[in-house]
Amino acid sequence: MARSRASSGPASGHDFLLVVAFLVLLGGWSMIMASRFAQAPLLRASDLVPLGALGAALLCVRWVLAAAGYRGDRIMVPLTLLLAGLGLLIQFRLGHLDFTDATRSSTYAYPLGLLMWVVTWMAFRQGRYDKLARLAIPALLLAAAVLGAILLLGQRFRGAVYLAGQVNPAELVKLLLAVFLAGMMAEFGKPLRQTVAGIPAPPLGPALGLSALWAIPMILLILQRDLGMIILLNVVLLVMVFMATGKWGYLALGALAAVAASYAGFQLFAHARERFLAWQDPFLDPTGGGWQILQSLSAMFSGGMWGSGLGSGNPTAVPIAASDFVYAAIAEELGFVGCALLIAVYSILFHRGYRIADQIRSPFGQTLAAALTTLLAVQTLMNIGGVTKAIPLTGIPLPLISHGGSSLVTTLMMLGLLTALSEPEPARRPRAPRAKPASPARRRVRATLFTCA
Amino acid sequence: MMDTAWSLESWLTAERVAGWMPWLKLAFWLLLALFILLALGYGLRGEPRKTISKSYRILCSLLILWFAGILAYQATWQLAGFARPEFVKFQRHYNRRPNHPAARIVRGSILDVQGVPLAVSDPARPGQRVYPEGPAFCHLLGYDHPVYGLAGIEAAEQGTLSGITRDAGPEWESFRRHLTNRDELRGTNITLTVSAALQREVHALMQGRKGAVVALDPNRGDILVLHSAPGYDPNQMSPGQFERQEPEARMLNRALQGLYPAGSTFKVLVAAAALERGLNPSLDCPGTGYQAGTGSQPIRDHEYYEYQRRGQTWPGYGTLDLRGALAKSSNVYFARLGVMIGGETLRTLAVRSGLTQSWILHEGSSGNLASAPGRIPSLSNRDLARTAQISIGQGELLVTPIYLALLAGSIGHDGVLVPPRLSPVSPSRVPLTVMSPDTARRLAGMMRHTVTSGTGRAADLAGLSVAGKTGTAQNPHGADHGWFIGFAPASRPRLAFAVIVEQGGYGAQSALPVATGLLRKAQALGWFNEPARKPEGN
Repeated sequence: MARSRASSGPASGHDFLLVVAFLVLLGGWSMIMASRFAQAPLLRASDLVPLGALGAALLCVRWVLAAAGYRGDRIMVPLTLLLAGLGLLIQFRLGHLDFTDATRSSTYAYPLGLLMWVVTWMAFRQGRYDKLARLAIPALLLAAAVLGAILLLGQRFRGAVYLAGQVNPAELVKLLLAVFLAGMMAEFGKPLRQTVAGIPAPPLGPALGLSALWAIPMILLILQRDLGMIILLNVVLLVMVFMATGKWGYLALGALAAVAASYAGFQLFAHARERFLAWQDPFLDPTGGGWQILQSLSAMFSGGMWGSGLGSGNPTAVPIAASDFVYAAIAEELGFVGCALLIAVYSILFHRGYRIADQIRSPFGQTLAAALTTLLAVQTLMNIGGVTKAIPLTGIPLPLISHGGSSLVTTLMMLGLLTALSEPEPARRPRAPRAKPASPARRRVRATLFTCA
Repeated sequence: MMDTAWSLESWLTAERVAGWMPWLKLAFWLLLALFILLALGYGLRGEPRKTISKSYRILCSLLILWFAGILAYQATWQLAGFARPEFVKFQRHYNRRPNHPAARIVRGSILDVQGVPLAVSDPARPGQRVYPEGPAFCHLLGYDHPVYGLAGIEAAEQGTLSGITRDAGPEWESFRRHLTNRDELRGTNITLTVSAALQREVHALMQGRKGAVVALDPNRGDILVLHSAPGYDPNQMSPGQFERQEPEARMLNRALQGLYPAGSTFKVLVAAAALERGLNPSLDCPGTGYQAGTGSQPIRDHEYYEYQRRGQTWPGYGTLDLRGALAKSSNVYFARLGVMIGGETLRTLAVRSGLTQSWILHEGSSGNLASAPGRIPSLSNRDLARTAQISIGQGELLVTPIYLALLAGSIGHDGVLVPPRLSPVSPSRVPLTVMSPDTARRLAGMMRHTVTSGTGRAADLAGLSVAGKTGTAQNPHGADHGWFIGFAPASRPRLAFAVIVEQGGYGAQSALPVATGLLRKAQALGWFNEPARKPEGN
């Protein structure tokens, strides 16, 4: 753990990473400005706002790091700031971010997101995340309540369901269910490990109990036809079960279940069928079902190896370029090189996430870190895979870069939690109770689950 | 000495700033790469070298494999998109960016039979197609336009012209060139059978008229002229052309897609049917006309109406034989003859001659260029009134100009119809036998008679024996359409033609002059001097 480096203090060499992150963002901003200037030689004071905002955010975070005496993972913080900053620049370039317009909700998304990031991080650091373990079942119930409320009150827009003011509370469900899954896996990881001849044979109690609990949000999501979310959460569930048990049999079972579920989805949902066919052969109906994906690929093709430079392409020729297809806009303007570098940044982020999970002693903290990382990684894979036609489109946003305040704030909260998880408890405090007897609430849950069977 | 004082405004120009972009991009990538290296370096150095546990290692490896797989797949579109012909086609149609890679392909030229360029691309401006002949070839060639997409030969030969064919598979050579020198991409040229000189002449003759002209070599099926009027200038396209309610229908290729009543030109087919059955009757053609079946409108010769207009009474042609009736284009005679032959027989011959067929003029690498099928109603021998109407080319009978040109050609070519083609290298298709050689020869003689002493006298040119048939087709849209179809020389034709002038009145007055202009031009070009080549494959 980073304990050995504690002597160098919070303001250690990693500050350099923050400076480089800022320079990268400065480079991106300069490209946008140069493109704008080449089209219309006019400089406006408001163009400086994104750069100022980025600089201010970096300074604030630097101050928080120092003031709080943060001793956790040093790479998570610059990584998060870099990706969120790139997202801000790209949204600014696509015209979806105008800091001078106080009536637009997008103006507040970044400040609110960064605030929630720091708040979450500060609230759960130094082992305080363990309190969340007790909230596994309440988190599930809250998620179900949110989904139920959306079902009753929400309005449909582009396949997703929104509450008033384009707030998509379904994003929060991801975070809540990650907490739930982490709690359950920490609790029932051991019994799930039993196998018979390589085939997982968990005791019926936990297996049925977990399935029944998991079914609640899944049924609500099926009612909303939010297929992308269903796939995302189930892949995370599968990975979590695999991580908690280390049994390959679960992955095999999961693959079988995925085949069956895709067949059922194909039969039940017309839009799933359309998306699958558009993925299989977009040229069957190039101006209809295949239009989005072909425009996305056209943007990439136009970008080629080196790209047109941020601000110099025509990424708005792609439908919904700012949200689901933002990766196509990046591919066009930053080229294949830019995409490879971006994917490298994401890969480092997820590697850090898993490393944080690996270094935590408390089972709950470990599963929570793994769940959050897996959630973000699968989300990234599903988005990039869909936009490049590697897999069918699922309508999942790209973490930290896609347009959408709810998604941004939730993702930053997850990363805040992950950053908090990376920070060990101070040595003077007693170690996190590993074999501590289960709390009354936990015992009750366990009793309920076992009697279910 | 400085001429002008340095100022920020004069130095900071849009061009100068645009030139910075490659350096800014480079700086951005290098900084991002530096960040990645630093993050990796700190990550490895910062923590004690405790190996990450197995399940996390598996997850990380899976994740990185997956990302690498997606990137590799992305490269097959982003970098090697050229290897996907369907994708390049989509780019040409729907990529609205002004300078995408597919737009950088220098498209192949389209040439006429003598190598005259009809459509060319300038390597300096590969996105812009130039049509040196302007509107004369607009319908045949179509267009290749960044906004309006592709049409005509440009669409049908998209693959060849842009250097990518459907069966070429992944072209790694072009991929390599794309990566190294993007300007090297060049398409293949295409040569057509059409004659720019003849088409140009026809275009001048059709100025201010609506209609279509088709001329072809009946021995080989080679299309020489395929013209439709009014047209548009493919060098200057405008959105107004594409309006659905455009009254002139300028985008319509009338030569292939225009469905017109055949009028009296159809009488040649009725005559052929009669000769095939050994019929050559002398029939009485009274001035009052012929009523086929009770209650139907009597069919009269058009002279009846001319005399009526002048307050006189048309006495009728009296007794006519087939030759005389064709020369005079007597409606009464052919209505009676058609009823004698029977509707079923007429229809069978019409179908056999390809009236209801969609003629494929060109099978391109990316599509076909085909005509619209004509229409003839199902006729029973007992339906006398309908049969009589069809026999004079009216009623529910609709034909395309290309069909009538092919029919005229088959009469000149011993009853054998050679399917049309636009490419001199495309393999000849199986010819159709429309009528016996004897019938064809006798009918050709009658059509020659029509020109020497019948309705087509104005087409009797010096030094060229023309055989033809005029037509005047009533239509619900106003004045009659004028037709003239035929071939020359009458004995051994080198050229068959069909001309329609919409709402031009009598065919002899509207369509015939266009045909004679075409024939004179062909004569002047020496088209009829060459010995007729042996027809292939029959």
